[in-house]
Amino acid sequence: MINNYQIAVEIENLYKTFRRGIFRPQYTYALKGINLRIRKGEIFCLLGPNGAGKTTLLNILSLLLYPDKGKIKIFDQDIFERENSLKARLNMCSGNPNFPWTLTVYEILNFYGKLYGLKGKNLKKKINRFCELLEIEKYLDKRFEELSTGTKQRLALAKSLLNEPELLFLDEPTAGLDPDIALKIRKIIKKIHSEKKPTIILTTHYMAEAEMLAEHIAFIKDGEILAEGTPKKLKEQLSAKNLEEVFLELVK
Amino acid sequence: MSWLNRTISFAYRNYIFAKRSFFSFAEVMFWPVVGLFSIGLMGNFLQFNKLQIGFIFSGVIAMGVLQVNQLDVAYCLLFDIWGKSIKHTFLSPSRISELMIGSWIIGIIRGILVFIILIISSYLFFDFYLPGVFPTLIFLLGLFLNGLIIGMGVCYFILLFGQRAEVTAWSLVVIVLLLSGIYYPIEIFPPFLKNLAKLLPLTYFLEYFRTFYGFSFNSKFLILKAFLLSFLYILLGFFILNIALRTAKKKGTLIKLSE
Repeated sequence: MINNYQIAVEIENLYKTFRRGIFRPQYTYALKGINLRIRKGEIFCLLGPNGAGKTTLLNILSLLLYPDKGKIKIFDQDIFERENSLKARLNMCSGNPNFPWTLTVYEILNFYGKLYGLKGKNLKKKINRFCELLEIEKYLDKRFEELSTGTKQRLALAKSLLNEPELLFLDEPTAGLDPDIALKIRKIIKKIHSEKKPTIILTTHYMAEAEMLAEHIAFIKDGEILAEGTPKKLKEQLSAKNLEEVFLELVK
Repeated sequence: MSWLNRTISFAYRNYIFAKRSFFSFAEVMFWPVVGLFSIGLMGNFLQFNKLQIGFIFSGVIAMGVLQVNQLDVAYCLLFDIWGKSIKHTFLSPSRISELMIGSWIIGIIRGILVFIILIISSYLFFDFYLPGVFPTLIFLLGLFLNGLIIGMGVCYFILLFGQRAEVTAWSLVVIVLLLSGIYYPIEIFPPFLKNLAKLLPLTYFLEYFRTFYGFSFNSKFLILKAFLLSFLYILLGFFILNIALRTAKKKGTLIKLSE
């Protein structure tokens, strides 16, 4: 608990290094001792330039990547001990989404829904509900390869909502989208959050997105957290008018 | 019963891929038949007798069925890699065993199709006959178990070495067939290769099937050895696949396969 808030994610001293090459190995230090506590039910934003370590951190939290060192607890459980039971409570949507090309929108949602243990009428109801919410119901019979980038992104978001995750990872969910589609997706994220209050961890390098959605922000650069707090607190601390100025100040 | 639900989902996904892919059609209808006719015509030219045809055609059938069956198991990762969607699969609470078994089910169905096509063609054009229902079922089951083992081997290499290891989906099965004595008895091998061949369950399934065409082999308890080795390799396969998955997560291979 922090000040009566329940903790959804607790990260302690997290390190990750990537090695490239066999005979003359080169090392990339992606995360260097990350410590974070994320409150249950909040939208937490990881802000930082490309290559800062945001996606690496999300990949570790979603159990797609193992760290070299460090402890992580999600909902008070060690993620490496309770991997499969925790996975059912998480989901992820990333920018530039990819799914098997030959499957239709309905087949993709049906397939991934079943992997999360959904079936029958319940699965059908959820597919319809999220397709309606994301306005992709008319594409249900279209194959993934035939969809526009914006529709693919909305499909990825629909897939990530199917199991109604308690912890949702959004990795640059509006990357490469037209401003109107990006705004639409941000509004949908806000709506989803206001309805069921899942904990959302969002990575982005769009300051406007963070400003619109985030309740807490951590600035990350070169694998280290530079600053953390509410948008208001961060702006006050650095006497900045907006998050863009905070960002520029921190990465100086 | 979530595991069953997930296993069926993986089977259904492979079924859709198979239904919509021209290559999948060729894997079942074209390549096995081409293989059968090239060997069968060579047999006619060299004037093989009925027993020799039985010996050779058991190899042809093994190759056709095994190739398709193990490919389906390997496709469980390959389709995801080609679609760059592997992270969605491993993000879900699915186990690698569900992924393998689900894909294998479609491999069995496609393998049975190949088997039927090859049996009808070889009966009609080359006077080949099956030795009976029981030995045929044992042989088919043996081929499917070996398909699962080889497919698991391919998946192991893909998880460890990434997409560059996808070539094993077409090459590993050929090496196993060559070592198991696809068109010859393993007695013709030098001692080292002979010992290696004795470690492969497919060797015993082929020898068992060929006894019904009048050939005798030095090995005893063929079927027992064949099944024991198969189950041992399957258990070992699941174990090393889990290790490979952990390694892929440590090295970041799983993420790279999605980019």
